[in-house]
Amino acid sequence: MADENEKVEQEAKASGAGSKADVDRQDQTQDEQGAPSEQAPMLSPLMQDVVDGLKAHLPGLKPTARDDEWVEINVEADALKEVALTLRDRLGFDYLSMISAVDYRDEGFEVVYHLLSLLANKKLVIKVRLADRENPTAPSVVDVWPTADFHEREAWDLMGVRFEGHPDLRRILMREDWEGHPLRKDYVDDRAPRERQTRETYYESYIAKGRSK
Amino acid sequence: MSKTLDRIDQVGAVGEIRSEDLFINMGPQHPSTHGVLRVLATFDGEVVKSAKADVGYLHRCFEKIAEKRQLVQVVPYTDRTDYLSAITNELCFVMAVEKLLDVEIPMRAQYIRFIMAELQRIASHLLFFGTFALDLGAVTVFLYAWRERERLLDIFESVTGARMLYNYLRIGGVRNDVFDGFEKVVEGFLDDLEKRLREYHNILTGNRIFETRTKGVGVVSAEDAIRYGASGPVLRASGVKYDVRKAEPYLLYDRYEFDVPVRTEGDCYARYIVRMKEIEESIKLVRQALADMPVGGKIIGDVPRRIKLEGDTYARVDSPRGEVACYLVGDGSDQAYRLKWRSPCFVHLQLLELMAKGRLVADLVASIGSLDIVMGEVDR
Repeated sequence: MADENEKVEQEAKASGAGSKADVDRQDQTQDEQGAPSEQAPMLSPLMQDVVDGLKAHLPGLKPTARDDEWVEINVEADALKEVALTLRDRLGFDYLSMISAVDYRDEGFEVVYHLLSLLANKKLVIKVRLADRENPTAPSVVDVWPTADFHEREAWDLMGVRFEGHPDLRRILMREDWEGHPLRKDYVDDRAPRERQTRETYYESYIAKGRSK
Repeated sequence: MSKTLDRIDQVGAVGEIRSEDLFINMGPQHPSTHGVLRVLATFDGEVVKSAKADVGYLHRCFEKIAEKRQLVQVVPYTDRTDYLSAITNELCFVMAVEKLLDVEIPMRAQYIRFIMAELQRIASHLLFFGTFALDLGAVTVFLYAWRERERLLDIFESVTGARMLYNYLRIGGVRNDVFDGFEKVVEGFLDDLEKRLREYHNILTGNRIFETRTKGVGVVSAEDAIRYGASGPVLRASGVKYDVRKAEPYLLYDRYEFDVPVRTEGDCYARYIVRMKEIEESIKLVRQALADMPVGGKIIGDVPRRIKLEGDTYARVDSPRGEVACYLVGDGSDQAYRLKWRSPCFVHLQLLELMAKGRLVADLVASIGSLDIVMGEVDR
């Protein structure tokens, strides 16, 4: 805890003097946009840092640099847990911003993790492709980042992606007895449309109900 | 007295004293849950043993609707996620689209957006100030906060035509220019608010009852705040100096000077102080922006007639409640293929058990209030 406070104070100092560094970084990205024909585009120092770290600790992955300051990696579902632990413990990605699930129809599902390193201000996207449409399953990362709990429940609820090892994988936004996963592209709401009630029909049904009692 | 003792003796004679945990549904209709939050709580006497949030009572399929609408038509839906800071929500969505389309926003529109976003922060924090005090039983404060917020809503109404749900931002700029004399009206409001802020601190901040109800209550350590994905004032009150406005400056935040208020206690009081300090910072920011706001010029950039959304992007905004983010995927059509919304309150509700465990019932109410929850945003 004392460590944490120290870090925070350091960060406070750094961000006070950091505005200049930010400006430098922006200049660099502008240069980058100015000369798009270059073979190996210059990365901003922070992105370079992320890429170097990934190469050192997770040599199997191929990081790609996106032009909006995020570094992107594609990970196999089986390897996700290990990668997540390495990212948190070795590379300082302590903050999970969001988990999104996307339905790509025939190409299966994609689960996207947006990670931040709060103190170093590094950014990383993990994309996990799940080809199995019938039963898409990814390992849960709740024990790596506890905030994943609600996000994973939501992904299960609305998209039907199962997270193995999640302590309590229930529906979160929809009703518990809801059938199907509404955000899937092939989801059809096949409930019969409700009949339009007029004042007369409403009272009729109301009276009928009363009589049956 | 003696009667009770007798009874205890009798019970003891037959067997040991039985005690049982009490399960209580707090909400979904409960005045202190800010809408329709249901807390599944078990109590041992008056001590909270567990408190789990159950959400979804206000689910409106925002993400599904967004896939079926034109992009401009999605903007009013974003208003309705967090209806107390509609501009920042619109901003997040519009920024995501602009990132994909690579649209340049005219300077005048940037300034209008910037000023409106910061005014929105003040309005939202004023509402927090009122309702948080109301949760703790101080009714007077609510009326004062409402008085100032009302003036702010009048300004919003004059600019956008609506008091809370504006539908004001457009892809590439804003819908209409501000009225003549906007600067003067806002300046006048800020001057008054600054004086009134001192009044607010007098009425609530030093209050003994308020302090006992909030200090040391609902503590979240810096470590837990990061692990559980807290953001905005909740994260900053736990001692982590992180603000999207500094870390990833959008709009004009890299041009103007402002501090990021931080407290290290991580309790309800710290969250309250951080929000009050943020009002001061917002006043500072709006003043600076008003001073060099360009006069005249375009308010909407060159947006292509035929929109083609391609690729994916992640836009982040620091809303009054925390980090609002939007993951937008396009498939080459003019509609969003997938829109995923990050709502800070949804994430913050996971902290509830941590904050309330082992504390009294009244502290659970204070904890919920200090998170400044908007259920419309949690359930989307």
